[in-house]
Amino acid sequence: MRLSGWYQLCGCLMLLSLAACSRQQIVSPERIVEPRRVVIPASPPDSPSLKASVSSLLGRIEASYSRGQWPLAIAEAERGLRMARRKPELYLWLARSHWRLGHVEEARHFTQLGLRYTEVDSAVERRLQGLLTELGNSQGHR
Amino acid sequence: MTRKQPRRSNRKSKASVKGRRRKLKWLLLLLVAVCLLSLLVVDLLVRVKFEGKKWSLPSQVFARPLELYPGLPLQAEELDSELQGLGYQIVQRVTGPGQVMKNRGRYHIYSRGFRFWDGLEPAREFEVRLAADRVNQLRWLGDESVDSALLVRLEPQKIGGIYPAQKEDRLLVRLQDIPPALGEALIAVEDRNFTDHHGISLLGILRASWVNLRAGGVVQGGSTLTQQLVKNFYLNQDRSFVRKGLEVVMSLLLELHYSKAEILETYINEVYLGQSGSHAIHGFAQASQHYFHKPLGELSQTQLALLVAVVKGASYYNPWRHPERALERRNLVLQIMAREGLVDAQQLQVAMVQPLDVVASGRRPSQQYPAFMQLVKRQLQRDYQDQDLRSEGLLIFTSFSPFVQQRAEQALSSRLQALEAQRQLSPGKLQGAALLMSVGNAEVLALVGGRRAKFAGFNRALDMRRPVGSLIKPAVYLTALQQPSDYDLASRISDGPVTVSGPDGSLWRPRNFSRQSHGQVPLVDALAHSYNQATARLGMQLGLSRVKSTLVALGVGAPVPEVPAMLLGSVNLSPLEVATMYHTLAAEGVYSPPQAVRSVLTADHRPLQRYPLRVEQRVDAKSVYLLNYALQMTMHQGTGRSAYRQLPDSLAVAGKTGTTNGQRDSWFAGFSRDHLGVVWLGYDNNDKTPLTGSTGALSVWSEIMTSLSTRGLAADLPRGVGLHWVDMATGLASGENCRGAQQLPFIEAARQASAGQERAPCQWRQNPLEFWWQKLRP
Repeated sequence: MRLSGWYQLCGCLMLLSLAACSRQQIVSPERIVEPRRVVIPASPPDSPSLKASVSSLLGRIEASYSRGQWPLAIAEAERGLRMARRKPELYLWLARSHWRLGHVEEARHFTQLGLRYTEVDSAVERRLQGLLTELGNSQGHR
Repeated sequence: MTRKQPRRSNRKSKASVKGRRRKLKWLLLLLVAVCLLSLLVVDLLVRVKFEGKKWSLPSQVFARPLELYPGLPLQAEELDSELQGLGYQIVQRVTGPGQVMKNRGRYHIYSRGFRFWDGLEPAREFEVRLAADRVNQLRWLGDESVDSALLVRLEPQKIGGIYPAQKEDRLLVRLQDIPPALGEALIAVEDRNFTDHHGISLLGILRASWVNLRAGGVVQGGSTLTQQLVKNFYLNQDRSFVRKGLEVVMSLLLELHYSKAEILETYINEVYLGQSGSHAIHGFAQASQHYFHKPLGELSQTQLALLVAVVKGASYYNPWRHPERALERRNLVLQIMAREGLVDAQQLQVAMVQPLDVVASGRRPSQQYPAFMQLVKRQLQRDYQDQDLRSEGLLIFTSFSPFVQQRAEQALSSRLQALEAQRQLSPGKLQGAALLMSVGNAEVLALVGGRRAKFAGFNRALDMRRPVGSLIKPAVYLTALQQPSDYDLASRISDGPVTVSGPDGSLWRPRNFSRQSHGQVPLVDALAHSYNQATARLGMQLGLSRVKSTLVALGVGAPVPEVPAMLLGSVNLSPLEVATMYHTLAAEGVYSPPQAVRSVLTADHRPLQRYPLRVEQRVDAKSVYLLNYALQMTMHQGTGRSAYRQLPDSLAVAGKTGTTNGQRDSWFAGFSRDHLGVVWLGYDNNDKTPLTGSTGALSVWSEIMTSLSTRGLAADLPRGVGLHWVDMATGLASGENCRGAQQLPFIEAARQASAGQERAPCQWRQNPLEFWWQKLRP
């Protein structure tokens, strides 16, 4: 117990001396002229209501895609991108629809772009990766 | 002999009479045949034109529809402007489409409905609540069964047309779609016996003849609606007997072949009702938009009466030029309507004191945006023949935002005036151009081709190619940052004097704008402060061909001379080309070609063509992130910092100034998360100006961006990029609590490869205990 009390006292003294040193450095006049540190502001995240709107649109896109209305699915996904450009699911539907229409190159571009905005090991990342592999094996139209 | 002669002459004369008679008979027969033939020809003409394609319809060009959804950045001012542009009526109680009720940030809107490329957007009643410059809530009202998606599109504003050679502007309308009061009022005023006569009214002609005889000239026409239609549709405005005769014949034929309803519908679409610049306004539907900025179905009785009033003489009763005459004539029409029982006495009393209620004359849409219309035509001319664009009545949907355009025009015009006044320049000479794009799809939102934005002259935003000065520098630094093993933002480069010898022995000695050298500087500072000497040195180290390849990857299609001076911007580009290049930066290295047209529909709303989004990853996203960080530093502490005198500190934007030799061109290109803007200022004759990119174009850009609902750049780091503290004096690794340290983004793979690098000695900014304690505190 006595030994640990000594350690505590020594520790406190060391910290106090460190604090004293740093105070001396702060008052040194040549260091007051340090240029203003630039902090680039972080932009606020998308609001939950925006996410709800995009989710509702994603439902429509999926329905159009399932009905085989691929140009419509593309048009709706592009509407979605105007709302939330970093939503990877929108790129997934764009890529799938373009692929269905035989636009392999476009499909590949949208897949790669979608992958950029996915979270690591998320479901949409796996779907985009799968699509990219299929596109790699693709001979063109499907 | 003497007795025989008279007999002979008698016989002769009888024969000649017979011959003459025969000739006369033949002549008559021939005349009848000619008449019949002419009648057949006229009949054919009447039928062919009436049953064929009656008119060359201009293409209608629409702005982007405003899409409303919760979370949309939107100022009340923008929504107000959109609704006003669409001609929405502000009411106390919403009862039908085209109406809005406003109450402290709440908008109760009844949209009109519209058929887009992807289907019908029905008319809907909904409430929008705005708070903190955003759509806070969107709620359906009325019909509960509508699609529950929290997304609604307002109908798009018409922003112009592509007109036929005869410059007629016309919107077709079917008889069943016109308000009954219009047809009835038209018949009551112009041709009371329309339903009874067979094309001409003898009584009307006699009455007009008598009035004209008494007046000693033509003061009244006795024409029926059918005759008026024939005159306008088939004939010309000559006042000759032949023309009048033809008019009568054709009117009779028209009535013989077609129903009264068909004739009235054609009349309603044909009649000349005004002039918008060089374009003639034909038909009531177009006239309704022209005078009231509303569809026919939403017009009040007094507004319908004015349209009927104008039929008598669109120029003489022009409500903007001659409001008293127009008002008097409108009231006469109202009185006739009352006499015919179309309005009751009380309605008449109220209507007679109503003002003309036409839109402000400057707000007529067909002549508003000539610069943007040029871009639209250029995009369409790749796929459509000029004749089709001018005659098929195509519906063209664009990315144009009237609100952004208004703001850009206002900012350019007001800043040019202010700059001329401040710098004591000859007024009205300094020129400018501005272009705004949507980030992510490269859609052009607004385009200003000169300080007189409504004047369809030289389009500087598209056709002017001028040296871009320092706007080119990001391409030099991006070339370096794409080699992460050799360069990062903290890499040091000398800003000392530099000399480059050309192949012909000439020497190129670029100087900094301030005429001072800055020693060894980190790349981030060299770009942020736009140091010429450091940039030239870096560019020469990298190689001109590599920098040129980066420019091409960014989307620069114009010729780039492979000479050292290109590193400092001796490359001629248009504002559109600059915007294309900077869009690739704003979109994190993804190139998209600039677009103005989204889709095209046929006149009957069938989808014809869509211009889908095209994307191509041209530059590594991580390198672009580093570059954009430096471009944000440009705005915070470099040549762009004056922007924050107008912009809020919390709005993260990136951009670059550009000034050319002799300050002949003042450029700025910059972007937020949603908007990219490029501004150029200078003289058309290439004279020197007292402006730099910072004191000229940047001030216009800042004013535009301040007025828009836009979001700051996203702070999310791309995968493979991390933030680290660097000692800015030495470029060595440092810590957050060390003096002279700045946090910079690095490509992690390259950073790890150089792991174990020397650290700069740390002089604490703050007592470490205090610092740690503050960091630990929530």
